[in-house]
Amino acid sequence: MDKENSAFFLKAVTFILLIYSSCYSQDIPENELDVRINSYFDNFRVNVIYPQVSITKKLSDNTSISGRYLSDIISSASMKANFQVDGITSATTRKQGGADNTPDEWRNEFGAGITQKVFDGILSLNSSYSIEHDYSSKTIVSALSYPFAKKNTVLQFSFLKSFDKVFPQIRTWVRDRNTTTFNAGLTQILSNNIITQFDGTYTTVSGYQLDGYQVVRIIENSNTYRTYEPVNPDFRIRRAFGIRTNVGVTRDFSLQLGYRYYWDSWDVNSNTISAKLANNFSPVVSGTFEYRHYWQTRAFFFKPIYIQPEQYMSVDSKLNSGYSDEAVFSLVLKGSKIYDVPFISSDKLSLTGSFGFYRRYTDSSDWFSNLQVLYAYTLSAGIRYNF
Amino acid sequence: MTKLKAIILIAIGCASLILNGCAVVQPWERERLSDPNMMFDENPLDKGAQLHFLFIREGTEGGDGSQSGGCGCG
Repeated sequence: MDKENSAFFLKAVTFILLIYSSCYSQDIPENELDVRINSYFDNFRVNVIYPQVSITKKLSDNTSISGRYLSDIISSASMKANFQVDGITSATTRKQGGADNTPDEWRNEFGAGITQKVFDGILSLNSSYSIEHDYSSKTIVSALSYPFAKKNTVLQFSFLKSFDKVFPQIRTWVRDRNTTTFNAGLTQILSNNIITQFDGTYTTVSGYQLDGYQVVRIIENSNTYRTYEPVNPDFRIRRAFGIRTNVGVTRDFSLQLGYRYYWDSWDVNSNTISAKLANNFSPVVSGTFEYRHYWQTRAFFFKPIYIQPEQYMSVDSKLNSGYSDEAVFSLVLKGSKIYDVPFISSDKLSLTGSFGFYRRYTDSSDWFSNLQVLYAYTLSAGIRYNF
Repeated sequence: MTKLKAIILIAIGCASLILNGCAVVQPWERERLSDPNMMFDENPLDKGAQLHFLFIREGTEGGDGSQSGGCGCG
């Protein structure tokens, strides 16, 4: 696997942030500024820094607006390998794209949204535009959440539509990728210390869905091989169903358990189990530890090695069978007057930080790194300010 | 029966059992539920950052839930 980092990293951010920023809450969001810097480093020599800024302004008791800027700065070894460079200096005549000292990808995303109270429900509309030198995306999301039974039950629905264009630097074509996602959820209070949530997602994707920088090598004899572009079915239906339950074990300690099942028309099936422990160590310090285990089957056309050209071909490791584990620690420090320090003595402020470790095993070696095990570290730090 | 139908039936069954079996919790009884650590995905940016790289390292997505809490405030 490894260079989908450019095009698909951006898709991940767009989808996730839009869906999650599409307000599912039961109240209009308050004024808030959230600044964050996240990073990702792995043993496949992929490094990502992605700072983001989000601001929400409450215009009235019924309406709020939001704006967001996000930047993805990605360095990917496998992408560099696609360019002809000097083996010693890495010099190239290209101005960007991985063979020089600039990041392989530098994506900019701009988003805006509005949230409106409608009777007892919340309706929101968000949009985003993302651009980089080999990918562009326009996305719109609408979401509705509506409470019932004295807010013991909340139904949530969202609809996402995305229009992308893919134009890898090493290819001569430009291809479309269009996505439609329906999501429905139900959150239910079970008792004064237990809450549960069901969530289902149905997504259709049409167009180019592989990594334009990957190559399929077919060996012709012991010394030579021919390279081909990956080819995928141009339509994919993706479905997922999840359930999570959060139990307040003590006054300050809670346990969240989750399960998700996913299946799609490329024969990729997966199961995910997760557990999250959260604790308030003091009135101003809280922390969480989350563990996640995941396993999946391979896509029907995925092969680690092809011996002849086939209708569909991909060597992308994320379409391979395997499993992964993830552990994340995070801390939140709330500002308080108990601190005799100017910055964090404001109770409108909170500082967040997290550290994560991720390990993925695939049943055959990666096409580029030739490794079966991927290790990754994530670091994140942020400031939230309610003004 | 397709997997989709099976999943929907299981979901409806679970939801029916849960909804029938739970009592309405009044707003003044939700002190514990109002704690941020009882919320699902209290900070969307945290959630987004975490799912961010999973999306490109694994072949699946969706069904991860949505931000919600039990206090009537988020």
